[in-house]
Order: sequence, then C-alpha cells, then structure tokens
Amino acid sequence: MKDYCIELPLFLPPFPVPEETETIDCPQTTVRRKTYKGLLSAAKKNVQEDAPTIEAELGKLEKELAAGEYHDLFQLAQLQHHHEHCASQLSVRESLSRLETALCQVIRSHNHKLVMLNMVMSKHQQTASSSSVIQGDAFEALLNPTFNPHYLQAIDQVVHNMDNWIGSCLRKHVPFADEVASLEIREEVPHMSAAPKQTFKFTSTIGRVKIDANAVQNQLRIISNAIDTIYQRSSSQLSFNEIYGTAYNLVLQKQGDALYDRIQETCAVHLSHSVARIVSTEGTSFLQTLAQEWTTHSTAFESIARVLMYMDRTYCDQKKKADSLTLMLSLFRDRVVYVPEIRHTLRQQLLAQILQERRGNIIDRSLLREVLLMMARVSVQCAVSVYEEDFEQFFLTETEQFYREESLAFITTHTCPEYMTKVTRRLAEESERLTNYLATETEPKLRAILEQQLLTTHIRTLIDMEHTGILALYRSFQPNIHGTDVEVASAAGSVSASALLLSGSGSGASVGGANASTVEDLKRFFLLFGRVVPCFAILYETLGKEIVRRGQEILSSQETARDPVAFVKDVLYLKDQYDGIVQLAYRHDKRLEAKVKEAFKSFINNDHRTAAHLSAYLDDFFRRGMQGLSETDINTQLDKVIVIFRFLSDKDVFEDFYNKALSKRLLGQKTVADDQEKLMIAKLKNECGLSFTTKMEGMFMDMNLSKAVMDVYRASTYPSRLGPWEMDVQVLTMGHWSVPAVPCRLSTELDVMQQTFTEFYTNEHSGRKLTWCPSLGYVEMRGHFPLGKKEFTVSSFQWCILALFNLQDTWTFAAIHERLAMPTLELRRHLLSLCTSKLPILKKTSSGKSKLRRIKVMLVSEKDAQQSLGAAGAASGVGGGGSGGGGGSAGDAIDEMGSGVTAEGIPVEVEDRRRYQTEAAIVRIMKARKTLVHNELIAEVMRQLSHLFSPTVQLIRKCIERLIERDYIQRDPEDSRLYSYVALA
Amino acid sequence: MSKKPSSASTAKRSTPSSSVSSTEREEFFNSLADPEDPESISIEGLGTLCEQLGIDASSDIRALVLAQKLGAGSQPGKITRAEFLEGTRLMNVATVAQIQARLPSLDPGFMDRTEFRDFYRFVFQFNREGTHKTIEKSLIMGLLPIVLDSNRAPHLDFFMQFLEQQGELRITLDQWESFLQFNSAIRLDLSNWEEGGAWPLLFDDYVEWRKKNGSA
Repeated sequence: MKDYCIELPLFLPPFPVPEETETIDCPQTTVRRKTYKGLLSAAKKNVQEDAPTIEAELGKLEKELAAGEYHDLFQLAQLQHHHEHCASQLSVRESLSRLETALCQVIRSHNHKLVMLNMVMSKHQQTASSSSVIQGDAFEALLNPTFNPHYLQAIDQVVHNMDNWIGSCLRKHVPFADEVASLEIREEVPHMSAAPKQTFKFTSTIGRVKIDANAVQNQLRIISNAIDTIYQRSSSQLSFNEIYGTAYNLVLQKQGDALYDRIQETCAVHLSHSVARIVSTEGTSFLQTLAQEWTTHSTAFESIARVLMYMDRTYCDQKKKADSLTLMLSLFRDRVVYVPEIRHTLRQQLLAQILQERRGNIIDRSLLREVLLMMARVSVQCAVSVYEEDFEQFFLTETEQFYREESLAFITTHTCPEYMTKVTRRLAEESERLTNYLATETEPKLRAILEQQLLTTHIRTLIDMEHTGILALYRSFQPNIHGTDVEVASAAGSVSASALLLSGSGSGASVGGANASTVEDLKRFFLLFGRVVPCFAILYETLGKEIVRRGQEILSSQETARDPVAFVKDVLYLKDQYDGIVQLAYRHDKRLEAKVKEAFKSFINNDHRTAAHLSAYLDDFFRRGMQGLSETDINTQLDKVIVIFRFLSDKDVFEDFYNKALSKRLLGQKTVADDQEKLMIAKLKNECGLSFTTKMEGMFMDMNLSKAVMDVYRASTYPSRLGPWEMDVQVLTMGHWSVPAVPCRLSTELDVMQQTFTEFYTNEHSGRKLTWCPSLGYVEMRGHFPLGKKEFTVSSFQWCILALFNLQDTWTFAAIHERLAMPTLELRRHLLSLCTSKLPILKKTSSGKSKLRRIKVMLVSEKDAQQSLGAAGAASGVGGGGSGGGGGSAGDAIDEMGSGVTAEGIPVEVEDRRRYQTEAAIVRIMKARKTLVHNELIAEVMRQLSHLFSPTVQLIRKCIERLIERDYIQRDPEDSRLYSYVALA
Repeated sequence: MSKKPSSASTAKRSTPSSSVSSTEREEFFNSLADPEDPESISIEGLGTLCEQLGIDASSDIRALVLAQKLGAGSQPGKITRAEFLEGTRLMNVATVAQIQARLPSLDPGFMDRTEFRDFYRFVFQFNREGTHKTIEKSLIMGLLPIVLDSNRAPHLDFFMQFLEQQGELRITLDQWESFLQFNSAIRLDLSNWEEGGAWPLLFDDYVEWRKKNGSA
C-alpha cells in the first residue's frame, strides 16, 4: 500500500519542475502558495475592471464551498476564472483572505471535498501559469512582509488545517487515505519575516511513481462496475467521489489508455445487449424500442462522462483523443445504428412513417422526432452526419418522387385553383413536418425540392390551363371601375399574406361576387409562385406576353379597327384589368407594375393607328361620351386616356390628329365643351410641355377673336347687302389650324358672301390676307320636296352641288365636275352622301358598278332663304358655320382622315414636321457642342425628341446628310465619324 | 473652294531664278480666255490647252490636276484671271512648252494622302454645274474611274456596278468624299462594316446590294 506515491492534483504541472528532485520541500507551503499565487496573479491581470462583480462572485464561491455543492462549484470555479480578469488590486487582497477563511472552514468540516477544492485551485493555477512574470509577482506579493498580516495568519491557518486534515485522513481509512498518506508533511514554513526578499525556492512533491498492476486492475474494475451500476439505473448507490477519484488516479498513474479502453469495452457490452433487443422487435415498434434504448444509453453516457471529467480534460486532451462522451456516442452509432439490420430497418421505418403521414394517417411525431434527434446526436466525428447520410438524402429522394407523381396525377385531373389549394395545403403540411421533427438544416433542401416538384415544374401548365388557368383568370378578372374599394381590399390582402412562409393564403378581403374567387386564386398563385425565383421570372414574362397578346387582339379585331372608341375603351379596360390584378392579387409588386407598363408600351406602339384612335376617342368623348358624366368622372376618364397617351411614342402623330379633330369640333359644333377641352389641354401640357399645346391654345384664342369680329360685322352695314342670307365667319390664325385647301368653284351666293366679308375684314384690318377654306363650312337649307319641306344642314360643297339642281333637274357627273372644278375624289364623296338610300336627296340613275355616272333629281330640291355660309381660311382665313335649325345628317360621311399617309401609317405632315424637328435638334446640339461623335449625336437627338416621338437612326442620319449638304455641319476631314458645327460666316 | 496652297514640292521648284514675268502670264491667260467672258478661262479653253499639251482632257487625270494647279476652285468649270495668274506664278509657267515640261509631275501618284484628298474634293467642286450642289450619277460614274484606281479605291468596281443599277441619283459632296474614306476604312470583303455607322445612307444601300449579290 505504501510503496507507491502520488501527489494531490494541486501539484500537477504546469510548473516547470525538475522531475527527479528528491528533496521534498514544504508541501503545504507550496500548496498554498501555488493556490494563492494563481488567484492573485490572475486577479492582478486586470485591475481596472469591475471589482464588485468579483466580490459577488467570490462571495458566491464562499457559500458554495461551505455548502459543499462541488459539482456546481467546479463550474463556478470556471466561471470565476473568467471573472478573475477583472479583479482590482484591493479586492484581490480582500477576496483572498475571504477565500482563505472559507477554505479553512471547508477543510475543517468536509475533508472529502478537498478534491473539488483542488480542482478549483488548479484552475487558477492554469491561469497563472500562462505568465511566468505574473508568477514572480505573485510570489513576491506573497512574501512581502508589508502584506496584510491578517493574510499571513490566514495562510498559517490553512496550513494548520491541512495538517489536521491529513492527519485525520491517515487515522481513518477514508478513500483517499492512500494518496494522502503518501504526502510527506513537514512543518517547515519559510522564514518570511526574517528574510523577506530572499528568493523562494521550491521543489515538487513528485517523486518516483511506481505502479502496481493489481491496483490498476482493481481500479479499472471499480470503473467498469460503476458503469454497470449506472446502466442499472442505480447510480444513487455509487459514491461519486470514489469513482471520480479512481478515474483520476488511473490517469495520474498514466493508465489513461487502459481506462479509455476499459470504458469502451464496458459500454460495448451494454450496447450489444441493446442491439439484440432492437433487432428482435418487429415492425412498427422497432422505432419505439430503438428510441427507448437510446434514452437509456444517452442517460448513462452523461453520467459516465461526468465521472470521467478528469480524464477528458487531461488525458484526452493530451493524446488528442475524443472525450468520453464523444467516444460513447460514436460507439452507439457504430455498434447500434450502423448494425446493418438496424440501419436498414431504421431507414425504412422512418420513410414509411412519413409516407403514412403524407397519406393522411396519424403517426407518432414525437417518436420520429426523438429518433431523428438521436441520429443527429450520434453524428460525432464524422464528415456527413448520420441524419443526413441515413435519413435525409433518402427522405429527399422519396419526397421528390412522391410529389412528382402526386402533382402530375393531380394536375391532369384538376383545375388550376384546385391544384393551387392542394399545393398550399401540402406546403403547409411539409412546413409543419419541419417544425415537428425534421432538422432545421433540411428546410432549404426540402423547400427546393417542393418548389421544383410542386411549383416550377407545373407553372407553365397552370398558366396555360384551359378555362381555369392563370391566363383564363386574368381574362375573367373584372377590374373595379371605382377605384376606392381596390385600395382597401389590397391592404387587407397584404396583411393576411405577410405572415405566411411556405403555407398558403388566409383569405383576404372579399372583393365581391365571382371576382372575389378570381382574386383569391390569383393571390394564391402569386403567394405560391412569386417567391420562387424561376417561377417569378415566368410569371413576369407571361404577364407581359399576355398583355401584348391581348393588346394585339384588340388591335387586330375587326370591330376596333374601324371603331376607335371601342379600341380605346378596350385598351382602357385591359389596363384597368391588369392594374387591378397587380394591385389586388400581386401585392403592388413593383417589378410587375413596371412590366405591365412595358407591355402596354410595346403593343401600343406596335401600331401607328393608336395615336389616331386615341385622338378619335377623345373627339367622340368630347362630342358625346362625356354627356351625363360628373366633373370628377370626366377628370378620371381623361386621366386614363393620359395614361395611354404616356405609353405612346408617336406623340406628335397624336398631336396632329388631335389638332385636326379639335379644329373640327371648334368649327363644326354649335356648342363646345370649353372647360373640359381646356382641362384636357392642360393635361397634355403637363405631359409634354408648353410647345406641344401652343396650337391648341391658339385655336381657342381664335374662336374668341372670331366672335368679336363677327360682332363688329353684324353691327356694320355689310350684312344688309346679302339679303336673306346670314353668314357666320370664323377668322383663324394661319399655322394653328390644319385645314385642307380644296379648290372648288363656289355657287354665286357663297361667292358674294365671301367677297362681302373680305371687303369688311380688309377694311377693318388693312394688310391682312384672307384665304377661304369652304371645305370646313356648312350650310343650313330648306328643301322643297314633293312630300313636303325639309330643313337640313349640308357642307358648303354639297350646297354648291345642290345649287346646281336649282338650274336644271338632271346633271351628269362630268357636268358637275366641270362646273365645280373640284377634285374627283372629293366630289364623289360629297355626292355619295347626298344619294344614300336612307336620305335620298338626289337620286342616281346609273346602274351597276359604274357609280355616279349620271344623276337625276328625283325629288326636286328647291331652296330658299336662311342660308349661311361656311368658309374657313388660312393666313387669317375664315371658317364658317351656320346658325340653328334641325337637320339631316348629310355631312356625316365626310369624315376623312387626313390626306396622305406614309407606309408606317404616319401622316405626311407629321413626317415632314419630324424631319424639321430632327434637323432643328441636330443643329441645336451641334451649335452647343461644336464637335460631336456620330453615336453621341444620334443618342442626344433621340433623347431630345423622345417626348414627341422616337426618331429612327435612319431618319437622323438622313437629316445629318442633309445638313452637311446645306453646310450647317461638316465631317471632320480626318475622322468621318466626327461632325463639327459650321459657324455662319 | 478657296485656293489650294500648292504642295511644298511645287513651291520649291518655282523658286529658280528664271522666273516668268507677270506680263507673260497675263498674255498666256488672254490666249486661253473665253471669248464671251474675257475674265475667265472656260472648260473649252482648258480643252484647247490640253490639246496643245497632247493630253486627253476627257480621260486623262492630269487635265484635272492641271486645272487645280492653274488655280481653279472658286467656281465650277472655270478659272478666273486672278486665280490663273496666281496659279501660274506658283507653277512658274507662262507657255504651253513650260507646262509640257511639268507634265510628269502632274500625276496624282505623287500626291500624299492629304493632297489627294484636297484634289479629290476639287474634282467634285470643279465638275459641278453652275449653282447645283450635287452631280448626277452619270457624270460621277465618268469621273470616278478617272480619279480613282483600284489601288486607292478597292471598292471602285463594285461601287460602279452598284451605281449602274440605281435609279435616278444625284451624288452629294458628302457622299463623294465619304467614298474615298470608305475605301480606306472598310475592307473589300466588308468584314469590318458596322450597321448604323456614321456613313451616308448611300453606303448602307451599297453594302446591302453587295450582300444581296453575294459579292461580299
């Protein structure tokens, strides 16, 4: 028993102590010095930090020591070890003495707790050892006589107590008696007071270590027995101290290897029992058994590991071996989980359970959770976790296949909304699965598979699905014409949607009627697919494509090709529809909003008729459409038109048509909706700037001036010269009005009127020239037909034709043509509307296709008074309109669309103006920049003109060439790509 | 066009001591002057001169070079008295024989790039008619082979064919000048042609024509 000696753990290295030193010198002093030194030096490290914390910590330590709760104590020591960094000088002294007292008390009362104390102290020691300088300091501090005498006293006291304790140990046969007895105790306190500055020399107590093989075996047996006992769940019978100590001793005796192996062996035996039990269970209870076994083992492992703490910290650390818990977990893995039968059945069972649940059956989720947790837990020291390798990958493959098949089968037999509901539910289930028993790492992988199989694979099918697909939903969506509800509904919708992760939608606010379900479906669609990147891309593209397709449909439909009102109404409806969809169902997604705009732009500018249609729509609106609408409604309606206008790139074409239509409205209508017209002009001005609306505003100005002129005229003596004829003339500024000049030899009456007014006007404003535009005028007349008198309004040209019939009853086309000297086409048009079957004023006698060869008066047209002349002019021209009276609709057919149109459908005048504008832009830019490279010039011109139209590169180049020819700019002689501005000499 | 500063080499040669007097040059001018407009030499006058020199005014490029050297430039098809006197002074000639001696130096092969470009531009301006700023296609097609050869203008043959197939066309100075540049910038196989470049649109048509005819 006495032939080997060991030391107490407090004397463990780190001190660089020569091992061979035989002299054993003052163990107690060393004990306490090392201990205190550790504490002190560590504390000294960081003086400036929070002293009170340390105080508190120390106070706790004291208490713990006294209470003897050593487990926690050890943890506390560790904790304190951290806090030591922040002790102040003062509190160190203080705490040391307090610790001292505590130690003494402990030593006195609880001998067996010394082990724990040692641990605490060695912890300090480790800290201290990190710096030899600090060590030196610590020693000096200890030896310094000026040091607190109370402190020295305390040291003595400790030593004294230690003696007592050791003595008592020797007397009794306490478990540690052997070790303790080996300590040679000598009462040899250094003469500190006598030689305070003397270097302190010490040596270790480590002496020769002799190992008794038997004793080792005994100790190993203690350990393995203990493990057995733990497995029998009767660990309460064990003395923790004893086992800990045994393991501790074994390590000290350099028997770590043996101990390690013994643990491995003992555990293996227990594990093999488990395997037998698990393998013998069949079917569903397999997982249960496995889980039970795991619980048993994992509990045992923890207890065992606690006992082997010392081994873990020293032996395993030094040898770079896995600590005991890791060792045991990996044993469980290799000897239980990886047993081929178990491994296979485990995997099968898990997948079977999940499949069961997917099929709608109830399974024990907590069991699954436990088993899966186990798989994650035993994944120690391996690159791929058991969870991943033995479960996750199979699970994912299984999932992929399951949903591939299910979704394919489902989508072929169900509608799109049904499918989406199903998917929503499935996603919610999988999400639940994740929270219930799957590991969090699985989420992204699972999600990717689900998105792929349930969403990405089928998105195109869903979009194109007949009748119920997304495109069909788009079509059936009814925009809410009154915009207010939209906002409310969408706000509610976004709230309900935001809380969802993978799962489907809670129902948003209902929008009303059948539309509500459409919105719900689209909302669900966006919720499901919108967050998946590839799906969003498809959604984004198809949305644009669908709009363009619908737009093309509108453009190519027969009805809208002829009827601009229907066209614009359809476009507006389409816009409302998709705005509504994006707002209500797609949560105002910015990218989608932009896409809608882009799509509209694309199809609207695909067809040059759009500009004309838009202007025609407005024309109709101002003439008829707005009747009965309130101010606000008119305003919103106009705003919508502006939205389409904004998409338009050929704004100048629109301007041209609009000006023409406006001039007709102003000249041809008795009442003009002044305020609304001006509102529209203000809106256009807002969009395109001042110059865009100059002409329009000019027209309104002319109307006012004309009124004033007519007032003067009426007050003069001139009207009296015309007898029963009344005349109304409008004087228009040249350039503001685009009026076609159609030559025609007027009837005598009209001619006289023209001359009279010209005389009047040139008298009033000398130097002005009047150009008459009779094509815009109209005449109110009364016809004497066999069946009675009729009053009606005809164009001035028609009047001229009819006037001929006052001279004789039949006229051939050729004769009329000769008399009036107006273009054949024009004449034909006017004649045609006089011969319609509905209102036959004239009757044509020629048969067959040779139209209008000969015209015979069927119903004699006798006219009398009450005529008014229409004449419009340019260069201070005049346009005329008659006064009151009911009328026929003879003039209606004359609704020509400008004279010439280019191949692209752009009016010739617009084309010409574009050339001037482009040239002007080039000159403007070159004048400012002096020299410019070709590409930059092109880009700059495009930018400057973009608010009016988008010029082609061809057009710009043509203009550049023309300007070079006219010496506005020239090419650089060295670089033909460089232009320079030619300053006028 | 403003008077071209004669090339350095010509200037040097005109310095020798045996310089001709201004009276001699005046006389020379008078002998060639247009009977209807004694202040200028017309195309006919130049034709006579070329005949005396023994060169074909309608096909020999030297006739055009001579016209430029003699000072033509301000008006198409004409040399004014002042221009002629200055031109002959710089050339230091006053008789047909003296010009005859200079004939070899009139070959445009001697001209460097800048000189040739000026000359090329001069050819266009000189061949204009009165106040017209453009020259009709047929005349251009006559001028191009005289002024250019496949050395200076690899595209010449193709371009001539292309012009041949075009309808009524008048060529602007810009197009004329750009053709010379086009030849030095764009490879014969058109491999470095880029759409939408700074070339006059005529060349877009030319390139398209080449591609359609499989000659590119």
